[in-house]
Amino acid sequence: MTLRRRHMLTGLGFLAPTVIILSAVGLFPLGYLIDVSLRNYNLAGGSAQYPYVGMHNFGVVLHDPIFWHASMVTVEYALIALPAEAVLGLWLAMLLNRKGRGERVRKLAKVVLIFPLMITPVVAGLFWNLMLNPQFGVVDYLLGAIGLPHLTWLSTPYLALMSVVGVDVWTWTPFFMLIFSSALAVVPQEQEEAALMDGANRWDIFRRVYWPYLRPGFTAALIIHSADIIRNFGMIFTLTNGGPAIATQTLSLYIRRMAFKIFNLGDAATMSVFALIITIILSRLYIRMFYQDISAT
Amino acid sequence: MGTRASDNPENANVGGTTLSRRRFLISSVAATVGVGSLAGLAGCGTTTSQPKTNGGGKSPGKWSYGSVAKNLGLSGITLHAPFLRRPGYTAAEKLIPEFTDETGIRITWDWMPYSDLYSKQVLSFRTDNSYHLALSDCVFVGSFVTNGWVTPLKKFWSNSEITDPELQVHGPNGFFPVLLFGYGTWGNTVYGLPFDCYSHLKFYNKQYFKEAGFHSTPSTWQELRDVYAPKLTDSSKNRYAYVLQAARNETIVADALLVFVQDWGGAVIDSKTFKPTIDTPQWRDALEFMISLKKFMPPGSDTWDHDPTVQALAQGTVAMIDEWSPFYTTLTTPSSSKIVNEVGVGVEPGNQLTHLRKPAFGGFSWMINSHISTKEQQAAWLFIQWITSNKMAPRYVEAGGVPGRRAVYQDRTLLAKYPYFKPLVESWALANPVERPRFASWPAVSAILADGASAAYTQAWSVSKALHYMQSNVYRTLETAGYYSGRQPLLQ
Repeated sequence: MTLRRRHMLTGLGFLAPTVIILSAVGLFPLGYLIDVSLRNYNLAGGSAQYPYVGMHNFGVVLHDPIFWHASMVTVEYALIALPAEAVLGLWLAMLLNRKGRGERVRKLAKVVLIFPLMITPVVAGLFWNLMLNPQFGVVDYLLGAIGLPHLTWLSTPYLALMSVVGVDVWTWTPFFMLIFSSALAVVPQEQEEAALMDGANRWDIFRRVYWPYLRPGFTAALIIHSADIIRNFGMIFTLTNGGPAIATQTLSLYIRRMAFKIFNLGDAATMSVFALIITIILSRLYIRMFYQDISAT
Repeated sequence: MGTRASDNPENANVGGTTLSRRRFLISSVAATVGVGSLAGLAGCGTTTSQPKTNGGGKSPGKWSYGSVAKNLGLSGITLHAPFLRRPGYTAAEKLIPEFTDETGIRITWDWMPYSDLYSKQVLSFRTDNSYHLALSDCVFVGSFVTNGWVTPLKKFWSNSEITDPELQVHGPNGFFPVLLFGYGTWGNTVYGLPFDCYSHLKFYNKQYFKEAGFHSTPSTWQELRDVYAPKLTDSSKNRYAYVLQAARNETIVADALLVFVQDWGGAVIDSKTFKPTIDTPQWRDALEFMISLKKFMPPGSDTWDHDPTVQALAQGTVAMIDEWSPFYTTLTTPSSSKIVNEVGVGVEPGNQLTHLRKPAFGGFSWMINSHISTKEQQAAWLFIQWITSNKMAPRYVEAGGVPGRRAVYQDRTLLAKYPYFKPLVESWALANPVERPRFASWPAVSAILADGASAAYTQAWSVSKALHYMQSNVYRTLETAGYYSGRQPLLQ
């Protein structure tokens, strides 16, 4: 065996475990998902045979109004939640990043604000389900105490969606805050001082000094949380279970319903493929729109 | 009718001795029209005195569950079952130790809500067959049978060695025909014996009714809405006349939508062609009427399932509900109810315009997993016979369950003690066991109906849009399943 060949084999030997593990945890499930999406795969359909049906399931899903409705609910949810979380997270990060007096209070506030992020989504959903209960929930009680009318948060279609968004904002704003805080911590103080000396106003300083440092983290946060919104299940399931009617039935809840209530795994897998495609497109879009390496500025 | 089951065990299960839908319908009509008294009602449709189903010729005195379990080596077997968190299963939990003591067969179970019952069992059948006993809702029968997950019971009751000589399936000491057909029979073959037996009943708060000047339950939906509801609703006191179970799952379909659709003369499918008959005036009127009741219900009740509904009555928030029979136990148990001594029971109303009164029909039977070992199947058969037997029926009632045995509903002591007995038997005589088609596609059809009904009920969609959605999607589902191409038999 030549030395060159031996080096090649050694290299392959080192690479193999990684490739095998990545294939097992990433590529195999993806391949299996695509395989199921091409079959008539119904666990309760009267047959243990699951024949290939080509792209039939894709046609069925694209003609399913509930699939489109679930997709639109997911988009609406994302379009309201993401900007709200980004703006609130940035505002909190700027507040907590101020230099000067009150350092201890800011540190304590940082810890307290992170609590919602540490709560399991299922628990968050249940917790808010009880808080928003029109009979005994504390939210309605407080509204009543200040003379406002009682609201049926979880059984009025639009309010239910807003409740889902609200719980998401409550949970995920700290995540954005953390990302922005860590980015702000590395902004060189000299740049800000130089800008001030040049007569820049606060908006200019934010745009020209802070924003370039915030962009990479912001892009990462958008990608992570957009993917999370598409696959968010636990919180919505325990908060509204997709209701009332189908008002808060997002893509993930509909996929679960199709897979484990109707047992049409073929259609469910097809919807999952669409969800995956949407996630990939959004990620590319975010990178194109927002990402810029700090060294390029 | 009139065929006498001979010692040939096949006769216990097919032909004249097995309940056909036609025979059931004749039985129901006879019960409704011709028989007024409860005793008469209990005997309806039984022109044949059915013999015991096993033909063994063994002396009953020598047969015992314990000796069979011992002789066949069934002692020590553990059977696993799904249990619902409902009174009938809490009742069974109290009784089962006796069975284990006698036979040595252990029964273990998983508690679960109804919403998980079908999915957990399907996954079990498709993977590890962890459930030896299948708990079949009336709407699971077609799915369980056509997938080959459960086994016909004739396989067991034709074997006198493992069949209780006192087992009676048909006849005056057998099960109510409507229940045996609805929960346990598919294509003239019996797969399950009725265990946790339901009909919707009108439960009401007697004190509230008295205060409002009512001495009986409304006999029609129109009377409920136009006469009773306005007098029984006072939102300033957080008191409402009525509430429907409208959770977006099987609940809104079985406990709300189809209750009205049936009484308004509609049906999910045409019984001959299996084409959906949803986008029709009957459905429109039924759905609109259902929505019109909302103003007499507690705010936020649009998503309530059984428990909040029962609790609304039990805690005094609403004056009446229409709920499944076993919830009588919840309403009369001090730890779960504030109106223990005020619970009234009646028959679910009908429609004043169509003169139809078909109380919602539901319930469960025990079946045997077809993929477990012979010994496990034999042990399961012993358990099913025992828990659904005439001997256990009164004790099951006392423990909080609702059995399907006819004889127990003629027991004068129990009749006096349990006021729900009489309306329950009346309701079964009026009920339609295929109000929800029991075919394998029902879970998919039910999901579509739940989405449409819930969207209309919460006024997210117009009634027209909901009806159109339900009609077109149910058609598409049944077409894909093969009901219009001849691939699937037109059985429901």
